[in-house]
Amino acid sequence: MPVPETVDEVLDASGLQCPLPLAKTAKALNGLAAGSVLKVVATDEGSVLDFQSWAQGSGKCELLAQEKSAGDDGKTRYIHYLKRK
Amino acid sequence: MSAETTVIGVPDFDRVLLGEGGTQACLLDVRNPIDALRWRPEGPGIEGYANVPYFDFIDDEDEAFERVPDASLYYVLCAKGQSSDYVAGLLRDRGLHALNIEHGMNGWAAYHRAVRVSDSSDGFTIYQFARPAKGCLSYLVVAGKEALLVDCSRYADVYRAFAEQLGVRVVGVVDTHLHADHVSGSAGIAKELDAPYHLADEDAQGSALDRVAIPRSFELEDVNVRVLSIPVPGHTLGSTALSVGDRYLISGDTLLPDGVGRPDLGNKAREWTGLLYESLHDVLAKLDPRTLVLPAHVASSKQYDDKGACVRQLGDLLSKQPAADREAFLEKVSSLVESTSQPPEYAAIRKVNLGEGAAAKIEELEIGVNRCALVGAES
Repeated sequence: MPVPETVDEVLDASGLQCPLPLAKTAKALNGLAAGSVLKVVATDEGSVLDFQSWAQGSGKCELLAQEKSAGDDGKTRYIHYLKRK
Repeated sequence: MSAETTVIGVPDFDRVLLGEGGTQACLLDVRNPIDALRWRPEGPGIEGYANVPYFDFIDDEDEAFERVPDASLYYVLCAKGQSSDYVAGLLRDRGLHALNIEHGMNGWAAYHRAVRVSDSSDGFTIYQFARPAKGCLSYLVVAGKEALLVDCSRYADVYRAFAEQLGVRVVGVVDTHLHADHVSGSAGIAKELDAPYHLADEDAQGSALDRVAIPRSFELEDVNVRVLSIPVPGHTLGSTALSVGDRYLISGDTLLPDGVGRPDLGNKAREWTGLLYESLHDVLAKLDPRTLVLPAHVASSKQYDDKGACVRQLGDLLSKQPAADREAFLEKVSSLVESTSQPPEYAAIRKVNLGEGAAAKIEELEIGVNRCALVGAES
């Protein structure tokens, strides 16, 4: 799925290990209005599958897209775009 | 166990799985369902199992708790041991007895259990290393101050530390065959310990591996124990069993607790099945049936004894073979080959073990229990 053109909020979860990237994402989503898009940047590779499974089962959000890119520090960034339901 | 205990190390958890704890506990797996389905620790000491992902607890704690089965004790598992620590804390907050499995599946995948499998009267010692997550078995044969290592996993530190603790010098490292289910550590540890690495010519396939052929025999500590090599082609063309002190047989994948090693890895199943039949019938069946077989794999945790070892009598294993008659054996094995698919990652693992593949993503390649055995009809 294409990366959304506009993002309402960005959460930097770089350097955090699970469960923190997802726990902070859930908290951030709670503060957003329905339809808002949250971009989450993580370094934990496990977040890719976890976000997929979570979004599938959760009524709170929809996973719009995921992408991978190299960060300035050389570490891979796993980026997730979520829409608040 | 004190009231403050909140974590269990992998070696202690292994003893729980083997049933030493006595308490029938529940394994609460908080990984995502995809990873949870791929592999998990198993054993007679665990009664209940539930997969309730940690993010379900984050989303709606009460709803997640409804899916936690009743148990007197919970072992909580995740990929690395952090999300499970969080969930174990939630369980304890509700007055439940919960322990976090330290380092999670990463720790479990790397764990090796060492069990002495020889008798004290033998004059030599054989240690079996079981890597329960994969069902892989490796061996250290010790005579005096010399030792031979067989079928090492890629966790070389395990063997190096063990040999150091015993104060023995590793004089050779052998792979009984080119492994397809796990990344071999044999060549690497041989180099580190400045010992020769042995793999049969047929399996080395002209690769650039730094190795030497398997000699007819190894002599440890001036022939205190003689290890004889017995070619047993079939699972691979170079498969070699090692007879130790005429009493034990390190059988590689030729003979396994529940069957024989699959002969289809070279994509010449018909031809190799014939070789396998001859290896079993004309070679191994000529040995003393009381010989104790030390295989390279178990297919399930049920194949360990209460010490966590897997040792079988040769006569018993041969009597469970798919068929005694050659034609019936060929037919039976070919139907088993058709019904037991070869995991797709095996080709990549073989390349890594020939020193050709990139070592990246080894953890991914190794996910899942081995599928080396064709399960015999009798077992």
